[in-house]
This record gives sequence, C-alpha cells and structure tokens, in this order.
Amino acid sequence: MSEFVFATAQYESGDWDSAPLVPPNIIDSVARYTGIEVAPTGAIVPLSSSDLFRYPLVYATGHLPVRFTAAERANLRTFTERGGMLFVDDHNHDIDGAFHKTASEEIRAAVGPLVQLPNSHALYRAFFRFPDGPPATSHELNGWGDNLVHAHLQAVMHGDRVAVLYSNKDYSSEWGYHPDNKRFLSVDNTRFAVNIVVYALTR
Amino acid sequence: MSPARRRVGAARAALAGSVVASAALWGLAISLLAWLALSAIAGVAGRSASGLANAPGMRSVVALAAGVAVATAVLRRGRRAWSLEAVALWLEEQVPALRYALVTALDARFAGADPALERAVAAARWERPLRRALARTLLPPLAAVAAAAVLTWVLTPGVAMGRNGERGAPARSAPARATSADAPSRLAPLRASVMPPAYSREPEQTLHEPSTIAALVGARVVLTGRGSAAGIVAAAGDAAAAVAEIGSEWRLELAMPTRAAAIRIRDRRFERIIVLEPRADSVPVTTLTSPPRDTVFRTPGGTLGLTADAQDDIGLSAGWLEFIVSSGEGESFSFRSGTVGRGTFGGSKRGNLRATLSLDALGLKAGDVVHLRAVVRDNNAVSGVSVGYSETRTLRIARLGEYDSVAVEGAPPPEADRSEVSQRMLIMLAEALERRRQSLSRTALTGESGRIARDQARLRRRVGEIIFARLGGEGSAEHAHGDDDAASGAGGRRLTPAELLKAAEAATGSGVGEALDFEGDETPVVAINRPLLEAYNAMWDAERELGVGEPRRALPHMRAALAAIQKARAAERVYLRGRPPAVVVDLDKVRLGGKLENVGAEPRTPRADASSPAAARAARLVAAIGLLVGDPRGASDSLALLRVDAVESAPSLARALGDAIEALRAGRDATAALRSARRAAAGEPASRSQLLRWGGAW
Repeated sequence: MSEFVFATAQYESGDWDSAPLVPPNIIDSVARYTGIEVAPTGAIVPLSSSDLFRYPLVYATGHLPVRFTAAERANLRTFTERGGMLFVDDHNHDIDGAFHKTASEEIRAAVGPLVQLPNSHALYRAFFRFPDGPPATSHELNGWGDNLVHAHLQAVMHGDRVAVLYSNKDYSSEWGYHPDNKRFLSVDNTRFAVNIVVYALTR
Repeated sequence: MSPARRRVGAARAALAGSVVASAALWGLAISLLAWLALSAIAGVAGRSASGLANAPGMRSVVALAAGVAVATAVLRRGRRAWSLEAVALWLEEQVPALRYALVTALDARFAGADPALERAVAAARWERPLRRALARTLLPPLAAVAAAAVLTWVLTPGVAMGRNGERGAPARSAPARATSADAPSRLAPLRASVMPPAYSREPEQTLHEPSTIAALVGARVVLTGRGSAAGIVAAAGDAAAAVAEIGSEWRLELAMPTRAAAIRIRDRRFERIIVLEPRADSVPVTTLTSPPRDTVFRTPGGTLGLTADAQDDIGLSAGWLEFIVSSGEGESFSFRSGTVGRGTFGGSKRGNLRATLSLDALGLKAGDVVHLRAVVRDNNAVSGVSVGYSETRTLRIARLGEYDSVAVEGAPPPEADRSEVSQRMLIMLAEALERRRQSLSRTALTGESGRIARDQARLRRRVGEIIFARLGGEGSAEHAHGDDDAASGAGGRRLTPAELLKAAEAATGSGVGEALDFEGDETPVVAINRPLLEAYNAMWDAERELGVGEPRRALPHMRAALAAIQKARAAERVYLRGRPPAVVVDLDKVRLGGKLENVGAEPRTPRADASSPAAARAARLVAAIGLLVGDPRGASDSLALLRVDAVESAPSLARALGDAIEALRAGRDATAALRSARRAAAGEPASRSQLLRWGGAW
C-alpha cells in the first residue's frame, strides 16, 4: 500500500498558497496519532491536472474570490465522483465574504450544493471524538472575522459520503504554524485534521 | 293445515328454489362459455370471416340462447320438486323410519284420523338430507359459473383493460371494449408528434414508426395509433401512462423527461418499446475577450474596455459583466462587487457584451485586485434558467516597491531564534556585570566573566552547528577543527568568514540554490550564511574578552553578534511567492508520540464492491445479440432498453445501438452497427507504458 500524501489544491484564481504550514502540521498530526504511512512533505496539485486523481484528500484554502476554470470544475466533479474528498477552508473565517460566496458557488456548480453537516456525523467520530461537532478556532472565540462561532461545517454529500467538506472556521489560520511549535499547546488543536484524514481514507 | 303438510311444504319450497337457482347458474355459465368459444372461433377465422363468427351481437344472442336452453333443461329435470307428494315420497326415501307415515298423513282420506301418524311425522328429522340435496344441486353450477368468469377475465382484453385502468389509467381513458385476442396489433403504424417547449422556438416534428424520440427536455410527445384505446396499456419508465381515445385513434401524450426512459406500450400480446432520449438545454457559454489576460497596473486610474462573446444552443436571455474588488492583505481583506454592461439578447443564439469600467470610479488603491468575469443566462422556462460564466480575469494594482522585494510568508521559527534570545541574555548579564564592576574584586569579576564566556562559547558552538549543518549536513563539523580552535585552518591560522565559507562550499560541492540571485559576486552559500558567520566570529571575540575578565570590551562584539543573528533571522523569513517553504516532518521523531485522549473511532460499514457499469453494459449487449437468432423482437427490445441506460453514461454506445435498432426494425443488416456497439461497449483500447508482470504462463 502506498503512503498517504497530503495534497494542497492549486487553482488559477485567488491565493491558494495562503496557508503553507497547514500541510506539514497535519502530516505531523497524522504521524503523531496514527499508524498511517504518510509522506513527510505535502504535495501541491493543480486542480485542473489529472494528477488530482492520485490523492484521496485535497485541501483548498484562500482569502480571495475563487473562480474555477472550466477544466478545474470538470476535474473536481470527476474527482469527487471517483471517491475523492475535497476539504475547503475559508481563510477569511466569515460567512458572507467573497471567498465564501464565490467558493460555495463554484462548488455548487462543480459538485453540488453545500448542506449543513450534522454534528453527529461520522466525521466527528472517525478517530478522535468531537461530540459537539467541529472544534472552535481561536479566531472564532476572539470574535474575529464574522464575529460568529460556527456551529456546523457544510458538505456536499454523495450518498452518505462527504465529497466536499467546507469550513468557515478558518482552520487554515488555526493550524498554520510550524509543527515543532505544537509542543507549546496543552491540547493539540490539529486533532480534528486527523479525523478529516482518517475519514477521507476510510469512508 | 296439518303440521305435517306445513313441514313438507317448507321442504318443497327449498328444493324448488334450489332447482331454479341451479337452472339460472347453469344458464349463465353456459352463456359465458358459449360466448368465449364463439369469440375464439371468430379469432381463428380472422377478420375475413363473416356472419356468426365475426358479429359480436350475434355471438351474444347465440350464447344467451344456449344459456336459456340449458336453464330450461335443468328446470324440466327438477320439475318434481313442485309436487308435494313427490317431495313427501322423496323424504320417506331419505328417512325410512317414517314407514310411509308421512305419505299417509298427507293423504286427504286419512288426514287427522290417527294422532299416532302426526306424532311419527313430528318426530322425524329430514333437515340433514335436505341440506345435502341442496348442496348437490347448487355447487356444480356455482363452480361452472366461477370457471367461466375466470376464463372470461383472462381471455377477454376488454376486461383486462378495465383491470389495468383501475391501477393506472385515469377516468377519461376509453371504456373497456372487447378486442379480439388475435386481432392485428394496434401499435403499428405508429406516429409521434414532438412539440418542443415554446421558449425554444423550434418547429414541431412528426416521426413515423419511431424507435427513438430525441427532443428537448420538457417537449410534448404525442404517440398516435389506429384503433380504439381499449386494452392498450402504456408505461413511461416505472410510471403508468394514460392512453386516451380520440375518434378512431388511440393517443398517448407525455412530456420529455430529464433522463432517458423507455416507453412500453402493450396491446394484448403485442408490445412496443420506444426510447425517449432527452436533450438538455446547454448552459450558455461566454468568453471574456477584453481584457484578454490578467494584468498588473502601475497606477489605479484610467478606464478599461470590457467585451465578452456569448452563445447558447437555444437562445440567450440576458448578460452582464461582473466585478469584485478585493482590498487588503494578510488576514484582513475587504470586498466590493458590482455589475456593468447589462444587456438583453432577445432569444438570439449569439451576442456580445460591451462596457467601460472606470478604475478611477472604483477608488482603487495599491494592492487592490479587480476580478472580472462575464455572466450570461438563457431562456430555459422548463427546467430553470441556466447561467454561464466566463473565465475570470484579475487586474492588480501594484504596490509601491513591490518589484524590489519578494512576498513574505509566515515561516517556522528559524533555528537561530534560540541563539538570539540567549545572546540577548548574555548581553544583559555582561552589562549587569559591567555595572557591578567597581564593587567586585578582580577575582570575582574574572570568575563571573568566565562563566559568561563559557555560555558564550556554548552559544558559539550552537551557531557553528547550524552553519556547518547547512553547509554540509555535518552538525559537528566545527569539532573537526578542534573545540578550542573552531575556525582555524589547517595551518592553525584563523580563517576569515569568506575563506571559511569558500572552503565549506568547496566541501559540499553543490552550489546550493544557484538559481537564486544575490548581491555582487557572492555565491548563495556565502550570502545565506554570511550573517551567521559574522555572529560566529563576533561571539568568538566576545568569548575571548570575557575569558580575561573584560566584559566592557566584550560587549561590542556581543552586540555585533546579536545584530548579525537578527540579520540572519530576517533573511530566514523571506520566501518566494508560489514556492512555500517545504517543511519536512520528522516522522520517526513524532510517530505515535501524541496523547491519545478522546479517541473513539467507530467501526465503519464496509461498502459493497463497486461494479463496473461498462462491464455490465457489455454483458447486456452480448446477451441481447445472442437473442437475435431465436427472438429478434426480444433482441431489439433488449437493445432499446440498453440504449436507455447508455444515453447519458456512454453516448457513443447509445448512438451505435440506435443505428442497430433502426436497422433491425427496418429489416436491414445490423451487423456493422452491432460491431460498432460492441467496440463502444468495450471502451477505448488500454495502453500501458510497460509490460504487465509475467503471469506464470504464456
């Protein structure tokens, strides 16, 4: 079995590379808590490339408006239809910003409409238990962004499987630090990322 | 009337009633069977037959006459049930214990003469034999009627239509009327009228003997055939469809669904399958022709001409150009949006949009980004308006001095950070020692200064490790030169930073980062590590001064070392945009080192193996082709149903199947079309860049 490679989506518009430290941090957590064979560095994959199909989970983030090209849209549709999972995180941590509006519009056009993911979903029990749903980020608790603590994540479902996981919670900022600094945290705030990876690999 | 006469009268009434009922039932059963038999004779004789066989009215008269005749015969046979004496004698026969007391009691000559006769009759019980007689009389004709009814139900199309009509057809469907079981099919000839949705402005089409009907989603499809609607059953997909009768024709009307479906129309033993192939209204396409590419403006002013082309397969409704202005950087962005150049196309298939965007009016600032795209919508009034978008162009206003620097991204804390903090602490300790210098003895001053010197030496070695690890991956390279003479050359001479770096670069032999540009003639190795080398040498000097108890003379070197570390730290934070820092996680170090709290992964339900739709289609095609010899009509229907499934997922297979079905129905040779279908079902030939592994046998 080949090792898991954490992939970041590179799309034509926007600042897709706004959170370069999230991938190594998640890779660190996957190795720290699970026995999953994981590559020590992440990969960057253009959303319009056929290389996309080599990765079971692809992470996308940014601050700026998202406009997929026709090739990106078609590729993303095929990717999710073939069982891939896209994790999109709004780096602006708001609900009515340009990233949210444009990204959700593009996701709807490419894959399907986003619906609220119930906090009892299997994603929150895929490895660690999160009985209250998605963990809040410090940005939400500080009142930054839209001044809200988002109670739910959103998703595009293919049957009972999450094809696209969408977050307004700005995990990209919350997890955007060097993994060596994880030792300063009393509770590792990247544990939820492990659930996302395990869910994408097993469901 | 004597009691005996009353009891016998009651028995006579029951027996007579059973005879009448039996006669009626036998008459009904015989009538039904006769009508069925005559209908069968008429079917065998065909439409050319005349007279009795082919005249429904005459068949009914004959059947009724047969029933009346049989009923009359039954009544005649049971006529003794009307005679009181005959009934009494029958009862004497059934109850021998009466010993003719009943017959005697009914005789007028002896009526009331002997009370013993009345007692004997009163004591007699004949209810049981009477019930048996009634059952024997009634059950056979009841069974005959039931059998005749079942035969009529099964064999008569009119009755079958009524049954199906209860299940799916609305009340306005034609009433059930008998159609001969062997009459010709009413499913041929068949005519289809296709009326596209009004918004498409396409003309109505008429198809004769269609096997496939392709039309826009929402189009009205009307199938018409000759004859009454009685007994014709239709279903589109899984839903029943109503067949109506208009004049001398039957008519089936339905809307083109969004997904391919098969219409099954059944007339007795005849069946016809027609594939409905919906054509979706395409999403309109628009291209932003101006500006043709992403652009960076030096100043946020002037006007910009915007143009876009648009087209649609049916007709365009409206369009506009949309812009979003994003301002800010880092974690703080704000957005504005708007539209310009809104226009209507009046249902034409092609059009263009033009507008002028004033950058001055947008109030742009340095660093702002304008995102532009064209949006067009069509007229689809059936399944909803479709909206098409162009590619997005971004126009960026340059930041002042952005060409002199590179974007700075967040970075991991560089290794030198730890040294920097410690160097600050050493400086503070040295400054504090210098302030207390007057109050300390020379010995105490030298002792405390020596401790700071040892810390400074420790720090110098750490910086040295960083430098040598970077240059050659050998963290202890400094020690190769001797712990006390770390930066000495082979001849014991202390090297300058340039000499040391040059030697290090020669040792690595790699010329790290040659693609990057640096000032002057310095190689990347020298340029990147120069600040740390300067810090390293300054620390060395500070260590020497501290070692002899001269913190005042050491402090300038210590501050120089701090400044150099600061410089190195700043350099560490520069990353080229688009090339994020490649952090390599030390997996072996962190593997399973986390605290496993609140872990509770639930077992997952395994998914069923995914079957290959292409393989299933290929197997169905082979099976359908296998039917061609023995059951060509079944083969054609199987191909039609396969085509329904292939319309969306395998269009090339669907096309080939359509050709094959047309050929089969027209009686032409379908070999070429079926060959194409098999190729399409098998898919494109797979090519591999290398040979497969040997499987153990040739």
